[in-house]
Amino acid sequence: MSSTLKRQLPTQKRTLTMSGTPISLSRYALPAVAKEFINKTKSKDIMSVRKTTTSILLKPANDALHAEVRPIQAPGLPKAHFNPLKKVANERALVKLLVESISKSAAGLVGFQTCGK
Amino acid sequence: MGILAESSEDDVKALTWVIQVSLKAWADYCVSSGETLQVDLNEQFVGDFSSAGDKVLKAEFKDPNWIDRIATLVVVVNCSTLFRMSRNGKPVRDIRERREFLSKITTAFVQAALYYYQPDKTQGHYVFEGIGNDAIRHRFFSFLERLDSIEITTIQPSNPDKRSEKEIHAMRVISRDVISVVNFLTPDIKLVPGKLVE
Repeated sequence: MSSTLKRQLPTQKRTLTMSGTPISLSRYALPAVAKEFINKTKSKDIMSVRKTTTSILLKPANDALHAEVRPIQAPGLPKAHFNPLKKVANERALVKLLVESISKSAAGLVGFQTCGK
Repeated sequence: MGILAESSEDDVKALTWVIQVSLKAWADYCVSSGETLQVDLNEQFVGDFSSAGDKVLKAEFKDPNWIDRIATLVVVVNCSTLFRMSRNGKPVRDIRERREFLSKITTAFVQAALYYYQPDKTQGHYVFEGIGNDAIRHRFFSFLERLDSIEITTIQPSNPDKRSEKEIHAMRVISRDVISVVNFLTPDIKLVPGKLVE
């Protein structure tokens, strides 16, 4: 997909767009966006790239360019909070589920070779 | 802040439970598959690794969400010496064998940890059955195999600057690993209707 970067007035925050549409990416794709931004805007203009867990802030050397990319919540994964377990409802059933997941991983490892081995 | 829970007391309990229930599953898997690798948890190290995860989350994640925390668990466990392994009564020290075990049991850790992070009851529950795509799964296993071990050392008061530099670097490396694991896990964590176990 071709991509463009929308220019705004120097004092305004810049919005990254792809083909004219604002980018909505999960935050895990943000490093790629930052890299693309730096390539498009000439890396020498960028003084620093600051990454937080919620956004990537690209700070320009002369303050003429400024971009802030805000992530969206990954679709289908609403917030969840830690709840201490008072009692595991059915540990045997859970263990059975875990055995299945171990079996699948083990099957997935059959024939698995990494480079350099 | 701990790895899974805010308080270190809750965190150590949660980590111990997640690992122990996964090891029960491993024991069951051994019976059904003929695998002979026996694994036990070094419980005395759980507190140290809770603190290590806590440091990473505090230093590199301003507001870690539940996936960040579960990914931190995966990284810390895969980098750790939390387990005693033996086969036919002899200790297993081969690093590849240890790594292979961790790769196999990682999905169980994630699934068990999800037990602590369920959304509103009416919304269903989260499941992780492993990485579905063959190529990505292989990449994930390769990634886990390449994680550097976490070394918890005593602070050297004589050279605080050097220590700090080293520690900052280590935190950044581990946080990068955590972000990568989040990237691997997220597409395969599904919200499905109903309860996790009936």
